[in-house]
Amino acid sequence: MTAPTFNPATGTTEEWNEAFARVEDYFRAHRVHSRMHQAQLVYGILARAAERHAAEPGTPPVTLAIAEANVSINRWLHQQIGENAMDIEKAGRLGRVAFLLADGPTKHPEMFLDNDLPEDVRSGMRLRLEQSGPNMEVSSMVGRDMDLGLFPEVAEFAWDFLNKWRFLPTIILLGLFALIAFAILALIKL
Amino acid sequence: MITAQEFRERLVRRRGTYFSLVAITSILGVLVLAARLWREGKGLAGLELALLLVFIPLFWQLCMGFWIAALGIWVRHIKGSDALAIDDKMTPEEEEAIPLAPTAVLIPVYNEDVLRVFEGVRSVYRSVEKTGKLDHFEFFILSDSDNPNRWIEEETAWMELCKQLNAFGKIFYRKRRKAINRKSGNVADFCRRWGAKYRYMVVFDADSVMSGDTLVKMVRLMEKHPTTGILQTAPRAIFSETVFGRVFQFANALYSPVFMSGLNYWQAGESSFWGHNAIIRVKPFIEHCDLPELPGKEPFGGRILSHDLVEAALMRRAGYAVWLAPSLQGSFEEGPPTLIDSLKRDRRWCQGNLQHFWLLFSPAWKGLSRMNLAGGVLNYLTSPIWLTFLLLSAFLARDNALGRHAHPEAEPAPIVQLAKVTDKAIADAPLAPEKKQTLAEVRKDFAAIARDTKVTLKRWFDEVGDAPRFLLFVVTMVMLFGIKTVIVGAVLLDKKRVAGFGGRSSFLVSIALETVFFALLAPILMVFHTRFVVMTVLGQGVKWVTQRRNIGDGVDWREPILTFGGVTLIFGFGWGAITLLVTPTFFWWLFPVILGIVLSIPFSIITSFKMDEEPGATAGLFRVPDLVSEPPVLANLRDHLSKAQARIEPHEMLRADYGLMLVILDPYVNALHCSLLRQRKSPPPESRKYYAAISERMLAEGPGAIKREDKLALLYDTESLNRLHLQVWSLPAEKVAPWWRLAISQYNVFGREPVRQLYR
Repeated sequence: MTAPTFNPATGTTEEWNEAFARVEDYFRAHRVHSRMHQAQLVYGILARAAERHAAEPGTPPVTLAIAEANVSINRWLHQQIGENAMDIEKAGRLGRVAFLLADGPTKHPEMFLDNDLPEDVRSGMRLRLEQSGPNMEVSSMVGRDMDLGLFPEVAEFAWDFLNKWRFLPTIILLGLFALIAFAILALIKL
Repeated sequence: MITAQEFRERLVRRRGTYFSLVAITSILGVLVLAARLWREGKGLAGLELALLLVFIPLFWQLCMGFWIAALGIWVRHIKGSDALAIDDKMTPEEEEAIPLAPTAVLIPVYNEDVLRVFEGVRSVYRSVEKTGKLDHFEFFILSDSDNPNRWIEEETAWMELCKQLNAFGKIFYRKRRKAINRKSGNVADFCRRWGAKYRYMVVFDADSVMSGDTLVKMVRLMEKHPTTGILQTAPRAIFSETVFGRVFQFANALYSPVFMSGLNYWQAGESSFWGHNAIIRVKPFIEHCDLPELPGKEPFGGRILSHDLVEAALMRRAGYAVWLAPSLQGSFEEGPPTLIDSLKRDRRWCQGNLQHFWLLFSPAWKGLSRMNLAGGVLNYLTSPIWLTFLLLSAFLARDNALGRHAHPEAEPAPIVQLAKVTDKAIADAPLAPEKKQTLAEVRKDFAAIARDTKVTLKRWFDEVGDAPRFLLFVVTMVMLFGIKTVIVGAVLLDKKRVAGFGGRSSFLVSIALETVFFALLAPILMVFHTRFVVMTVLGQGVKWVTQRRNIGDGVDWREPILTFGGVTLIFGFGWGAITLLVTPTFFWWLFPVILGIVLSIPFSIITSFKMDEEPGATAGLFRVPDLVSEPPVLANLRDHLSKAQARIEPHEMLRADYGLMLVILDPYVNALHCSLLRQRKSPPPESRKYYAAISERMLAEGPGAIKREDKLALLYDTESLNRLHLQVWSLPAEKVAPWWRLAISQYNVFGREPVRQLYR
């Protein structure tokens, strides 16, 4: 029995272990919960990241691995939603939403990054792009003039007055307290 | 079928009867008090007149409530139905024959419990689905949430709910960037964008639940009555998990139907709108119900806070009826769980209702609209009036105790003064003899008139003797407890109904406890409502906050002590001690009021204790029919909520920023959020720098280091969110904050079983 081999030319074991764990977490975040499936995908991603690392040794393996994973997912989603004119980043974003709405992660988690995605999910993805609201039918809703009578005019004058004499409410409050104190004293003074 | 002419005539008769009854009893009450004051004070002036003056609005309010309930009893228990009400008369065949119209169900939310909101939507949706009429309904969750976590949780919940119910294109989610004009602005925004697509909208609160049958029936009623603009249901209280909530739920189930029927009996088509659990005709609402701005600044002026009453008045002004539908079942809402939460809500309502003061003077209003607005204002002014009445009573009691009658001899009226002119004064007057003769004759006549008048009044007040003292007490007690006794009696005589309230013995004990509860609560509300009125008048506005709808982690002991401590000392012990020292007799009259205030802290704490609802249990305290036999729409909601609440909670360290974590870490949530954001032009370089600085801190220090408004700003920038998503995943561990390392290691580690916050 031979185990799959992964011998990157550059980078330390710790760095690649970190990259392995992170890519695994990233797939888990995509609802790929099968360890077997995760492992297969992770090895593929890490192999491509290792090739890139040989050319860019200054970039941490974890960064290259996640970039590779992201590109792979975006390309795959781009292919599934069939929007060829759309740029790959946008396709990745809309594709993720469409895959989720078509219930892909729950119904066929084992088919993630598989080009033979069942047709029901693929057509569901194309059909169910997100809807945050129905088409707008714009109406004009504006307040009608309302005659509030004479009193509000007096009130407006009063507010202007109060705004000029900002300490007035404090005086009223103190007056109120004084009145209460007076009332208490009047009651006690027997 | 009643003709329009007949409707008008009957309505005039109804209103004539109602207002006559209120006026007669109010006048009688005031006369009885006047008689009492006269006897005790040997006249009416100064203190007595002031007391009488504040008594008038208090007794008027009491009489209004009494006669509304009395008419409610008449309609429900004697007549059996209301011939004018629009919700009482359709047979099932007639109903089925009425076609439905496109209807939007609006759920405005503001930082609410996401799980509760979306499970509520699920139950209502399922219930409508069961009616087979789902095609006519669409649901809109209209979010104004400014809590970053809530926002993301709402989006996730919306997507999951649509997925589970296969409801894409039926349930929509919209988040407003700026929450202009709060809830009324939120609904108005819907109207402007999508209103033209729908003939009706049913407005919910975040905690509202309505059954599918009720929604369908409401649409049919609106179709049958094209001149009705708003149809308001009377929602029943649900999901009360504290003693406070349960007592209110019990009182609501027992008394509310009677009061609603009584109110509907004479308001008939000129009712109020309560802002939720109501159906609205969209076109006239768009055309006539945008709210005017009030003169001045908040809290009194500016934007209208309590929009519902004003919208109802505007709808009436446009010529559309506003109806209550007391007989419509299947409409529910949650109430505040504790006294403090209830007071916080009252503080907002108080400011909103007092704002309506400006509108009272507008000549624009029709019919009862002005009275409805005035009623809202008076609801809160009653408390300071009651307090004033008690204080004046204390002064009067002191005078009486000291024998210091303000007017031992009443000031003689001019007629009496003329009657007392002496013979010498007439003789000395510089008048012609025949004029002196005339004056003497006039004096004689006036003396006779004055004597007769005095004798008549004296005789009347003397004849009533000590009766007023007790008569007024008896009348007030009848007003307060008479209706209650009749309602309780009606339930006790009906086997089926009493079973709905937990059986005879449980019901009677609940009634006794509920009576004590409200007796203790009333003085607390009086003091706090007075405070709210004073604060509003002095210009202290309120903020828009999320209403707490459940008790959460349990009783908070500190908040009641801080809230009621001062009130207990000043109004409880202080006022009580002074009254006891000065007028011990009056103290015992005041004792129930003082007791309520003195006990406010323990009352608040004890009533915050949890009390299991035990749906299905047939006996126990404060049982209501909706608990004994829970309607399917509620049972469904309860079931889903309990399942969701049994899920594990996110890691404690991550909980506070879980929504933010989702949007950055989870590729699907990130994609969904960015897709839902409206595409905007790339921000200017200054903004880019700002976003870059927040993002950098977010990565290096975690979300805890970022201010709430910065988090919110970041959530509006798709570029930053995409970059952060990739950076968090792709940077080596040592380059990101420990918070992110924990988030990555914890996220989705439990596989398919979702954590509580992540709605799935």
